[in-house]
Amino acid sequence: MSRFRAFLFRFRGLLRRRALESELSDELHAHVDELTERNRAAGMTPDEARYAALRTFGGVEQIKERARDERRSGWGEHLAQDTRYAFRQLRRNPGFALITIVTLGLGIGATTAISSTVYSLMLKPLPFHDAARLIEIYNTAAKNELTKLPGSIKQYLDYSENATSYETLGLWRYFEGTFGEGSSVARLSGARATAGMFPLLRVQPVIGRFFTNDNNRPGEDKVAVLTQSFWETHFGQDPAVLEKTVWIDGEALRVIGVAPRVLEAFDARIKIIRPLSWTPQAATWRHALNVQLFGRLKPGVTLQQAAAESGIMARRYYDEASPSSREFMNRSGITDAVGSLQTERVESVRGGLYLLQGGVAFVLLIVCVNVGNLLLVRAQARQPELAIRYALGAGRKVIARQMLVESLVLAGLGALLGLVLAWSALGMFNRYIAEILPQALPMTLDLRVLAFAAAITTVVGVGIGLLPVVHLLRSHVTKSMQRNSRGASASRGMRTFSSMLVMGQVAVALVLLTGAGLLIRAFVNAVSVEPGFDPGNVVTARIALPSAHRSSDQAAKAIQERLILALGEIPGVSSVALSFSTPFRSGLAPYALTLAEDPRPPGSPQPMAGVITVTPGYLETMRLRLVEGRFFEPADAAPGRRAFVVDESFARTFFAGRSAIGGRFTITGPPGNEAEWPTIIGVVRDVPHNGVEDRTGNPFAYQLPQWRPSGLVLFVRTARPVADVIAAIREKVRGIDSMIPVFEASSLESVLDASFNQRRAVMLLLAAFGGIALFLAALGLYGLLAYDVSRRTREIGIRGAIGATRGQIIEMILKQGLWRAGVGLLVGLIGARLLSGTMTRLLFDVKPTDPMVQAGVSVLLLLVAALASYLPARRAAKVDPMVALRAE
Amino acid sequence: MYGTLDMLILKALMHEPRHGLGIADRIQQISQEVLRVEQGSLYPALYRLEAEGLVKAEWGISDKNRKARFYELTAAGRKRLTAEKEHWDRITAAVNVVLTKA
Repeated sequence: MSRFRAFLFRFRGLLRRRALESELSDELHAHVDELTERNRAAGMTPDEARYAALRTFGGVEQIKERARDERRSGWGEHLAQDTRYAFRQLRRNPGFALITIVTLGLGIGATTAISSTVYSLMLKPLPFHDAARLIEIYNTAAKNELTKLPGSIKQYLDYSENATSYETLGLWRYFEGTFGEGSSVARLSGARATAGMFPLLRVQPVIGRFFTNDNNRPGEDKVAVLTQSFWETHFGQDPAVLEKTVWIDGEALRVIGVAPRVLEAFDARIKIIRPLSWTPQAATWRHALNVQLFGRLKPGVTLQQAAAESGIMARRYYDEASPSSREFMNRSGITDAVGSLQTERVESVRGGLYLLQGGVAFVLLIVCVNVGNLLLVRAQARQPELAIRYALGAGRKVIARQMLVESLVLAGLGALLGLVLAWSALGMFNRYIAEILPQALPMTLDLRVLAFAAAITTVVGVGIGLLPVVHLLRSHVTKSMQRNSRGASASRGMRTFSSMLVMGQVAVALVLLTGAGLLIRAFVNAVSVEPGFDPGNVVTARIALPSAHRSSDQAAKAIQERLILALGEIPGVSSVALSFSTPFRSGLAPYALTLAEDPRPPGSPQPMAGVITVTPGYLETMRLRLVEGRFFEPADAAPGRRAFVVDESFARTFFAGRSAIGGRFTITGPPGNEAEWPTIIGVVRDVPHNGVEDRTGNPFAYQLPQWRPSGLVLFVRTARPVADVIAAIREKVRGIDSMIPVFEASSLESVLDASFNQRRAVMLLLAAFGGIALFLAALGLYGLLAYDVSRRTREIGIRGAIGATRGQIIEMILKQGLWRAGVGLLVGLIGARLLSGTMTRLLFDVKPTDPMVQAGVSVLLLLVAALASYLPARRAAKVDPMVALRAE
Repeated sequence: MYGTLDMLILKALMHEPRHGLGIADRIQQISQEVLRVEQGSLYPALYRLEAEGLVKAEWGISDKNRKARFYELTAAGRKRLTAEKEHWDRITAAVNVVLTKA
């Protein structure tokens, strides 16, 4: 309480400075006057009386000074004064201030950006009621190394009937569709869902209503719920949108409601939700994995209990399954799995995020070490000044406080810069995240992350500020003044500490640079993989087909033929092909195969292969390399003739050594009569259809169009400029049917290039960290040696005077830098082994111990260390013996 | 000794409010002229005690008909004085023991 009063008293003093000043003056003068009067009464002359009074009282001005201190020595006054002083000090030494602030800014910025990302994606609770109870139920096939496969409708029905852990269950399937109005069409994202998704997420309609489980039957599913943002941007928030008709992929849907904005947190892409419907047949096979299954746990049920129940459900299904299903389950090891919604959403980026968090922790560590070192060196350089101020009467506490304020001012400015850097870095991350994790909302710097950054700043600021203060309070200041006058260097302990800090930095820089180096090599390897085809001079685009072109097999065939013909008419086009699947996208679900003969030992995993549906022009357009046999010809499309072309991986895996030509297998459900199975007619080189990153060696098979697709991918080989060709493609497609949207048109090379984006992002980030670390380490080494040289001017002068040559002096300083770098290097090499061991997944054909990277990074570090040492060494060599000796 | 002056001031104010000169006179009186301080150095100490809430001050008129600031012990000040006195007694007792035993 009394402390609070003291604070108020002083605070008042701060506000009423002038009034209090005159009050003080009045009081003291009254005292002196009264003393004078008393003296006069005792018989002194007026002058004597006043003089004696002043002697008894003491120096009025000194007393005032001390009284003032007592009256308003609140922190407010001192803080303002110390802050002014700190800014003056920093202005006097702008180089030091700039380096420190930039260093801090890099550390704080990187930490804030990465931590915001980790927080937004992994820690921030999803904005749904009791989101911790939201669960995703999925499948894993351990024997095929597939850790996450979607769920199925049958699984959903099974859980709805038998599982006791869940309050609500819901199905969700993302789709991209064509949104049509009048004669214009646009692509949009949406979801097909069961009614359970709404209570599961605890959302209520903004207007209208949501659909019910009655809408799950085909024919009943022609209704739509709009998301709030789509309702706002496209329908101007008009309540009359209800009962309006919207067209999705040529189907008329009646709008029945608008879903609240919070749904964007579940999937930021979607604009429209319509009921998921299925025929009874579609719900018979439990392993038709094409839909996401979510559940809300009953209160009190844990994830472990849910997982245990899923194990029981999977087991029961296995026990009741037909022998052929059981065979499939044995071979694939497929079983049910559950995970919390939040964890499962970011499953694909979790590893990368941990790596980044580790990297940023490293950088922050270096920053703290470096800034601490800089401040330490500066505190030592300022010891004579501090010693003089101490001698003139400044208390140790005052000096310590001023240095602390100086550190906090530096940390504050660094934090400011850091926030600016974090802001721009997050903008960049958001661009990559939109590709890697498209359902996530853009990340923002929210208040909690800001608080986090501020906390770090304070810890860093106080931490680095304390180092010199502790040092100052420990050492005897006057002694150091004397020592300095004799030109001796800093205490042994301090120097050892500083040089250990520098070694640490070199080690950390080496670790990060090694990581970056390995990733750069891996990137080069990934980019230079022989793709098995020629992506140059190919333009690709996607189209969606309105239902009119899917109404019959004839219609489907007709539109394909018309497209091939029309695109072939574009001047300069040498060949045209259509495909059912987008190239180089991971997530192409493989098909389970039934082989006529499986040469592999019994108990091998379920045979699986990706199946690419193409037209005969594909070989020529893509310039696939034919290894054996032939590719499709138009005649192969005749009814009753079914054929496959397979790639080399397929031939190697399932025909070990023998020719694959003439082999038979099927991908369509029940085996039936083996004699009717399609035949393999050719073998081509591998094409990385799942993206170059895919190293699972998944085999692929090609087939001619077998069903009616809802969309097609066009491929056109031509040497003409990409933009011209795209325009021509659009025109031709519009000429066939203006309701067909053309999208994602670009050169095949840029599609291939975009498939490296995730790897590129990780590589660039680690390289940025490595670069920052190298910069910081060089700075640390430079700072240490420069300080050393300035302290040893006299000694160097003597060496020069007794005959040391410039070369010898340079060599002496260089050696001091390089042995420290060398020690750091050795420590770093050990650390690098530990780090690279954790990133083998990203190391595309690169060994974690790659000698080229290790040697290259070591040489780079030594060169930078040499440069950082050479600058102070050159300054040492310029020391004029006469000037140096006379200066002291 | 730090704190001695503070204690003397509190002691001087024990029975009645006084202004600066009054406190100086009283200290001289109770210390039987043994402790001589520059009277001015009372003021920093007074302001410190005021900031700590041990004394409170008000402008008034002295017996010489002059405007002066009068200081008065607060409840906290009285408590502090008692505590300080006990502390002091303990120390002097201890010192006495040491000196007489030696």
